[in-house]
Amino acid sequence: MDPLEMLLVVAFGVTGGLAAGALGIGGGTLFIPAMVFVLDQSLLKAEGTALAAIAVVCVVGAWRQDGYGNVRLFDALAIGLLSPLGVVVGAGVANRVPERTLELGLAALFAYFGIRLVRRALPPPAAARSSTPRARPRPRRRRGRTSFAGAHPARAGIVDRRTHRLTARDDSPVRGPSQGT
Amino acid sequence: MVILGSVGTAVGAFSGLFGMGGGVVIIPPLIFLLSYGEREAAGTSLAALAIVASAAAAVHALYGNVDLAMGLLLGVPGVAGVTLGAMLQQRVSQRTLAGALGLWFIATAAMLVI
Repeated sequence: MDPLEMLLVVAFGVTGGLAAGALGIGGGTLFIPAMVFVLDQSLLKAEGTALAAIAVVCVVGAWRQDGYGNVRLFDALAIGLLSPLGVVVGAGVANRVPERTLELGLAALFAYFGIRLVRRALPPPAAARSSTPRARPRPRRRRGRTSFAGAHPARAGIVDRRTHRLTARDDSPVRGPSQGT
Repeated sequence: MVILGSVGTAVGAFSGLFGMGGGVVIIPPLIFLLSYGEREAAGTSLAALAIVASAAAAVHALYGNVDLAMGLLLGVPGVAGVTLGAMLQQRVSQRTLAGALGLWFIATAAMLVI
């Protein structure tokens, strides 16, 4: 292996690791092409070796992410431990559906999720921002006079002469200075 | 639990079909169905992939398909990268992460079509 090839493999390793640490993807998308096209390995050997490298990278990555409080261990265990069942399902599907159909179906699904994620990253449109209700401006207060509703019994309700209680025009009690708080 | 089980099965199926780890399969359901933040989705995905990839690599090793020297040549820089990536992830906003993930998904879709 010449130094340029070695440098390329190291670059693929660092880039794959960066993507794994920052985005949570395994890095196989970069590791397998590095093995096949730079190191000239067979696809089977490339898959096996890349998976071993991915395993190491993911163990270290999960440990680092756990340190930052970003790992839900139970969920990760549930996904990880149920995946062997999927291998059987995948093998069954692979024997029935043409490979190109699968690739195109998955590509459509990934493109859909990709667009949704990009839209999530964009700031909300101006129309959505303007539709959010704004605080209503307060009425201006006149100087030298309170605007308290109970200050003028005739406006707020009726004062009972016997009990001196203030009641609203619809007979429900009104909070006013005569009642306290 | 049903969603997690389905995600696990889908990851296994994806690995069986395309020979990849399956991080791209884990992250969307975590974000869109289980309302994970981008950081948590990435961390949980890595932890799940550690289990999946270790098991798959062990099976490949039994069949003699693992070249240890090559694996180290790729894995050691990968470990440096993942440590740096996890550190960088804490310094960028969730929005930036969502954008980067979206672009990664679109690139993966394009790769599958080509």
